[in-house]
Amino acid sequence: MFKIKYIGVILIFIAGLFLSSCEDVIQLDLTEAATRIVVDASLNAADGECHVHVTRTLGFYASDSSDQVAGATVELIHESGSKIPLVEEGPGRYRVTGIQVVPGERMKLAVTLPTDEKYLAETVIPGPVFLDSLNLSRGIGDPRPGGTPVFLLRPEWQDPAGVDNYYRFKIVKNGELQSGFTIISDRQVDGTLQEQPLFRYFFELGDTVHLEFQSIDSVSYSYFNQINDMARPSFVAATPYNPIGNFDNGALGYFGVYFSEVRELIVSLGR
Amino acid sequence: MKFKSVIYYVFFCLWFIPVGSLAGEEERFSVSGHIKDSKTGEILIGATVSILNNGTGTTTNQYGFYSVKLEAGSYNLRFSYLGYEPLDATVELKNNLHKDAELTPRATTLAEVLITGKSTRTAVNNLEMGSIQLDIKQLKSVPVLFGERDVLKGIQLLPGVSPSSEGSSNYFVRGGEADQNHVLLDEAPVYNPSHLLGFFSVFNSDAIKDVKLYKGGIPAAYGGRASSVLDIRMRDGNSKDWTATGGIGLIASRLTVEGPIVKDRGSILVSGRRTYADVALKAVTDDADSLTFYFYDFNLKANYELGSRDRIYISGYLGRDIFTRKEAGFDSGNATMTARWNHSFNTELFLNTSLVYSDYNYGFRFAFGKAAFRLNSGIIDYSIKQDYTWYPNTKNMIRFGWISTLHKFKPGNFASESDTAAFFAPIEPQQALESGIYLSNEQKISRRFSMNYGFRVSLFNNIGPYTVKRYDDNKDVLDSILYGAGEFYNGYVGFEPRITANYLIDSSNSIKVNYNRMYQYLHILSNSVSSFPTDLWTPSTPLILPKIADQFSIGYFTTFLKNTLDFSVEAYYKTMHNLVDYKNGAVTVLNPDIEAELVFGKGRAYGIEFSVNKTLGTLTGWVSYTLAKSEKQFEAINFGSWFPARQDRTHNFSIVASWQVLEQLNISGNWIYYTGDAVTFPGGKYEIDGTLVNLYTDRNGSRMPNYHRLDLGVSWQFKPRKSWNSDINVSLYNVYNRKNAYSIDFRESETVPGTTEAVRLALFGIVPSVTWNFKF
Repeated sequence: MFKIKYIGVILIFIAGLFLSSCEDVIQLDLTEAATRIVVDASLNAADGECHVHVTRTLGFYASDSSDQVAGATVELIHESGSKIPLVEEGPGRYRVTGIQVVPGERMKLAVTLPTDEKYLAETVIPGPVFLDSLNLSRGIGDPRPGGTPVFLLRPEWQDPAGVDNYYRFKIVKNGELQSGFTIISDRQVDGTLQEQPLFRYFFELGDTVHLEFQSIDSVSYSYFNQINDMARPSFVAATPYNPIGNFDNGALGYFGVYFSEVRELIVSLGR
Repeated sequence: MKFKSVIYYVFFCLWFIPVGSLAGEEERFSVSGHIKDSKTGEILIGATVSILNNGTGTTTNQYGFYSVKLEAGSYNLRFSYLGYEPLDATVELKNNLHKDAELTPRATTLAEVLITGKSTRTAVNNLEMGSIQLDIKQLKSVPVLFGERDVLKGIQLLPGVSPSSEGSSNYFVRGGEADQNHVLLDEAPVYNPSHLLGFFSVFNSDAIKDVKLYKGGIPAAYGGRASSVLDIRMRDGNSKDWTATGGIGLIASRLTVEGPIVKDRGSILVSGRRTYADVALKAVTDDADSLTFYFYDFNLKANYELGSRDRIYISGYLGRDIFTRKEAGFDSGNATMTARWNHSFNTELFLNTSLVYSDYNYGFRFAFGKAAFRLNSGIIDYSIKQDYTWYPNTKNMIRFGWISTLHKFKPGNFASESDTAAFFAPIEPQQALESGIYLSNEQKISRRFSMNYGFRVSLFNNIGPYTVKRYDDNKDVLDSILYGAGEFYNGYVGFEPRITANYLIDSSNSIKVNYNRMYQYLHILSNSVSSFPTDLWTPSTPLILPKIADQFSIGYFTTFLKNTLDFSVEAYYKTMHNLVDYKNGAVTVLNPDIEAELVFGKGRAYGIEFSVNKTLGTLTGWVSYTLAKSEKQFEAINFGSWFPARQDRTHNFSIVASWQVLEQLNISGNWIYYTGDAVTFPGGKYEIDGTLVNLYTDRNGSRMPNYHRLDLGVSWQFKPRKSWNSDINVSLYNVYNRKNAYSIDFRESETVPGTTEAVRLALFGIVPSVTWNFKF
């Protein structure tokens, strides 16, 4: 579902009106949480590549962004029982290629740490969905004469009826990966033609756009949705919590499977 | 629960205490009438009538009506009200007598500056506890943000009440949630009493006469919210002369015009207020024609005396917030209308009948190229109610009545204007009927002991058409039942005992105890700190049970220094059932299956409130301190253990002072301090797909920084001119420029990528403001 950030924008605008409002970085004493294991695992069913990143949580003020867990045993387990081991390519980073999956089948991912703790996650392979087209919508932009027009991406695709579908858009604008998770569920619009603009990203004339359209599983959708929930400014966000994925034994993170498709365009008036 | 059965038992027995002999005595007659202001004809609420011969007395009700029953004879009556010259009258009682009184406001402001509307002695004597009457005149001297006098900011300085966040009109009462406060304007519920996301209340203080907050000891006549009742009464308007009052402020201007329809028989008042931030903004930016933002309020009140026994009132309020920018727009607002008919059947029985309408709605629309979307949502109430007051004798005052309200809920539905593509599934509207009957008696049992006991029975019915759904743990619909139009498909009944007792130790010391139970059938589903116009009221349903709050309180009231200092201490213990919260990861916007996203739990709150109040002299004001705790318990949160509610503010201190230095010069100030909110801060971090995610521990296990702030104000009264007078008010909000945190966000550093930092948002630094007020 499209997130409505509109209200937050109004609030920030009004705070700006008051002029005296200010944002500054403060030093807060935070109680350090106990270290937990994080498994960030995904399998791209379109090209058969699986990436797994195993880390430990860090203190909030730690200067690194992650604490790698090397030497783990990581395996994909197909519902038939066949096991495919992943290879450690760098500290904490595991990979395997050439995986072939069939939508509807179950797939598990097992992680065993050198210290013998075991973590297991399971998901169901989603069905592939492809874009019909990728268009642009002209937005308000700067309304003054000669002002820069602003564009929104408007992907179009047919949602398959009768099944739960979830989608994610990964956008690279002028070579820069846009942060956050743009996800959509067909929960309330099952089987309809999707052609709404993506309100989250704004483009100007001449921008190069690289869009990865993913058809994701329900585990990924729910997990990213929870991360989004936490990423909003705290005065509009829900009470904070740790997003829950599909790993057992208290591990954070998730294991998801998706089909992906890439489209590229340069923003121009002709489109 | 044993405690509860004891309460019920005591409660029922009370109705068998003899109500005093109603017959068989010497012949008794009533003296009754209205008490008014002699200059404006405005009725006075809570004015005192003392019978000097025997030391008894009574007070006027919300319509300025009083009635006393006495044996035949000659009596000396004294009519009094704080800020007015008392008026003595001798009556010869041979039959029922109608006696109106007009009191004259005291000439000198220096001798007595109003801080509370009640005289000090009545706090000891009366049968109210946990309630505070706020005089609008007192608000004049309290310095406020942007110089906009505001009743909702005023009550936040009282013990047991604190703002929901910086600058907000929303407030917490005794550890309850913000949606547990009933806000009534001339009996009409105001569903969103704030403008501009909460920074201003909808109440234009020029149009307000009386404000009374009940934190506990809530009379049986009120029902529908778990925590508190704020009863706001609009002024009736001057029935003697035409006058105009107004003010020009930093962000808004206001004007009130009032006068007699027929002299001494009826009056009309029209009041308006509008902000002009949009005008100012247009002056300083070249973004001129694209942005419009303002809010306005409009109050109207008219009354007419049909005879000595009947009086009719019409009052209305209309206010809206409007925000547009070219192709996007948002607007929200309330409209209320109350029609009332006061009728005295005889000198003993008074009746008020009201028809009430209240509408809160919001809508927004935005467009991108060819695609345009709009959303409209709201709640509408239609009520009819009757309130009787019966004065059978001097020892008893019996109140009874009923109310029935039809609520119509219009949920937010998002629609695309330009094409037919499904965007969001539609959400069904709902309707419900909420009713209540009540009976209570205020009884003087002996010279020292008096009680107010009664009960309210509330009924709530959901009415079709509606589809009731049940959900599994996966938020999927298990089954659904479709109910037809007009079908009553679900109902709740609440029995709500209310009892307060006062024991006078001596003329200046008393102890009071109170127990009350409140049912709440409407809820705001919201999980964010700020109040948004989009926070929507939803009814109880088969799944969402009514909230129930039980409160027990005990208080000690005294006065010293010749009644110039009023001291009180009140302790309370409150339990709350069926509190609602969202599940983690809930889809809260435009979700037709919102009920699948809810979890239910309970709460408890307790605390002790101290207050010292100085009402007389050139230096007036109060000091209040509250030590309190508020906790919640949800099965799904913190492994089912109790955790602090966000509004768990351990210490809450406020000092309000006003010093009348000269006849023309008043200096005022207030300082407030409260413990930071209980919040959930991260204790670590990790990375998912290149995005940093915060690691959290216990729910509400951390604290926001403590809040404190000093405000100062100076007002100068210009020499009165022949036909008009004016004053100027300069105030400073947050004098020592403390950066109180509105929110703290934890995010990736923009300067050092890969590291994380805590970012504080402080909304208001030091804010000066100037207001010029005038009266013709």
